[in-house]
Amino acid sequence: MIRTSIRTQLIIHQLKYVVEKTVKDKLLDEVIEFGVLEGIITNIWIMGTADSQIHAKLDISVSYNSGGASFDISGNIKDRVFTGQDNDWLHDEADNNRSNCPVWSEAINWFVKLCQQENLSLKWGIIVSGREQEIIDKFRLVSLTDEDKTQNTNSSIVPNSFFTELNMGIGFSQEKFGD
Amino acid sequence: MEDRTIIKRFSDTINIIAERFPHQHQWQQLKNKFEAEFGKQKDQAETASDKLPANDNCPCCNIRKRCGENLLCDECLKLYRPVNSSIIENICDCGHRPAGPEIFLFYPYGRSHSLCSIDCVKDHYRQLFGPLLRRLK
Repeated sequence: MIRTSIRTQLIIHQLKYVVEKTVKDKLLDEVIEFGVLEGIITNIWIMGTADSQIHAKLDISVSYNSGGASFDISGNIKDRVFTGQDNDWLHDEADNNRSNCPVWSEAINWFVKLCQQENLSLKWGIIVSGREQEIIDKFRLVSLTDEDKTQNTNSSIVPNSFFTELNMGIGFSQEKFGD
Repeated sequence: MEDRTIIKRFSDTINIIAERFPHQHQWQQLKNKFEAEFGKQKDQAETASDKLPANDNCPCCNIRKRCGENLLCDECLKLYRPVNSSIIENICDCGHRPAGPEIFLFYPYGRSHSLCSIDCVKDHYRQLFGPLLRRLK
C-alpha cells in the first residue's frame, strides 16, 4: 500500500534529515522514500563501527498508522539487516529545517560527535517487514555482517516530538564506551 | 546537585506549602525558621542561578558558545525558549517559583514544560542527553 499523505512526506523528510546529518548516503534516502511509502521499512540503523563491530547504534523504528485504527509492524528478523554495497557519500550542506525534531537533532549531533571521538565509521542498515528480496534486488543491498556489540546494553529512547510513528533508541558497546 | 540549589528548592517548597495551608501555623513557623537559618544562603543561590560562566560557553550544554546576547547557544535555544516569568502564576513545571525575570519553556513535545531557572534547564538537558554527554571526553 502506497502512503502519500503530507504526514508521510514529513516523516520521510525527518528520516532524510537523519541521513543528512549522519551517513549522507543518497542510496539510503532512496531506500527510505520507497520503504516508508510502501510501509515496509520498520527500522533504520545508523551505526558507529570499527573492525566489523558495531559499537554505537541509533535504532530508529517506524510504525504505521492507518486512519483511526492503528497497527504497528515490527521487524522480527533482527539478524537480517541490509545495507548498501558501497557508500555513496554526499557533501551537501546540512539543511537545518525547523520541521525536524530539535531533540532528535541534538541527540544525533552528540551521537556523531561520540563516533568521531572514538574513530568509528558511520554506516547504515535497514530492517524491512516483508518483500525483502524485492528491496535487496531493487537497491542492490547485502546482508549486514558486522557484530553488534550494542546488543543487550542499556539503550536510551528518544521519542520524536513531531511524529509518534518515529522512535529512536541509542545504544553503545561496553568495549568502547563503558557504562 | 549543589547545596545552594537544594536549599533554594526546599525553601520554595516550604513557601508553597505555607501559602497553601495558611491555617496550619506550623508551616509558617517552619518557613520563618528556615528563612532565619538559611535566608542568606538562599539569596546567594538565587543570584548564582543567573550568573553566567566566565567563558562564553552556553550554560546549558556547556560546550557551544552562547548566541550573541542570549543566555543560551543556538541549538539550546531551539529546545528552551526564554520567556517573561510573568506568564507563570505560581510555580513552574519543575516545581519551583521563577528564579528571575525570565523562565524557560521546553516545548518540543507539544505541551510546554516550564523551568524556573538556568539550573533547572541544565538538569533537564542532562536528563535528556545524559547518556550521550557522559561519554564525551
